[in-house]
Amino acid sequence: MTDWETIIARNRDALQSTAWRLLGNHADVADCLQEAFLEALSVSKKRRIRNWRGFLQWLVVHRALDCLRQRGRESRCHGTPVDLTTVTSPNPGPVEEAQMRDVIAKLRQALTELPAQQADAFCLRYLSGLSYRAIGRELGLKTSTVGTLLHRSRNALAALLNESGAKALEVGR
Amino acid sequence: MSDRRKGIVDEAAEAMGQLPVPDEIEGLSWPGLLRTLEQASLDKEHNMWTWHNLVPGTRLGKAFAAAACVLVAVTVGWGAQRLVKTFVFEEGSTTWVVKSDDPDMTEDEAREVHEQIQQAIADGRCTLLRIENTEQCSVYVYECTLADGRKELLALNHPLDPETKRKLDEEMEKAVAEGSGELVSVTELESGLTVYRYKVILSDGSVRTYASNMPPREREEKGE
Repeated sequence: MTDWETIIARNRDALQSTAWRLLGNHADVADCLQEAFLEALSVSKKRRIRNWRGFLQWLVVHRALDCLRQRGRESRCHGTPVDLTTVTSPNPGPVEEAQMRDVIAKLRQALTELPAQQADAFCLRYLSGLSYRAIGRELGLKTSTVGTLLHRSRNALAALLNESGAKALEVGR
Repeated sequence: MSDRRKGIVDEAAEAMGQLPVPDEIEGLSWPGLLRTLEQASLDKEHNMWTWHNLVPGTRLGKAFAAAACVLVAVTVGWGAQRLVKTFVFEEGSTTWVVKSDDPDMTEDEAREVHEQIQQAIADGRCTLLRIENTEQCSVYVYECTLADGRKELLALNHPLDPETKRKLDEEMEKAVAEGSGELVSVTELESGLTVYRYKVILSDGSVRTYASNMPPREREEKGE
């Protein structure tokens, strides 16, 4: 049987960070994490999980992106994603904070518009910090294919992050 | 792609990666989730989920809670009556399940019944019929009188009275903290960890269970 206590102890902080940064509010993060673990439970009953960190990160990213897409379908994407009382940026001023929140909101929106595999790969690399090899293992791809996928995702995101986003970033430096 | 546009992606990802993360997620209890996973890992296929194995307060926890209680209620509350239609209504973090023996019931009709039951709860027109205990779960069965005089059954995983509910939740938290309760199962995990499952009977006679890695002997030595 699975030693859930150890698995949670080793992964909870990283998973919580990934989910929070993608979703930004308590209710969705709580649901995302719980659903991810219940799915992990279901999968673990059918096959042995070799790399729990990578597997759980993939589940959380996948669930969180589903949630973001669902928000988009419900036209709530810009209405509720960020809990403004708890989100701050490293920059000191309120203008910079607002710009940073805007950039993050745009990135979240852009991620929902990428093909699912590209979005998964991007988040696993840049939010979860997984290696190309680990991403390939979770997505069932060769390491070289992961590189191609990430290149495409970065190109697509750059195109989606519009000019106003670019200006905000430049002003916010 | 220009360097400036590439920079947009890097900076946006960096900004997202620097978002401060709260220490605790409201509505998520890691110990509660751990108990859920450990218990579920012990279950065989087709074993029923019970509400106390899920983290209360989250939408999923509530959904499982409601579903589990309806399942129990169907068994112990409605007897042989066959409930053929199911509707699920989300209200904030709460999930309500409406089941009916009418095969032609529409969602609008179910919602109307649901709203009338909510009104009956608000007006204090629900009477506790009984508490049904199973080995791992208790269901509070109420009879609600709707505005038009009809009577409908309501099954909950907690008492309607908020003060009583708070008191029982505190009793359970205390029981878990003290490691009290009757040992009902022992399971060895692959890692070598032994999980003991305890049943707690609360002051109103309702049943809840929890999992622990502490055996009864150690608890006795601690004087509990």
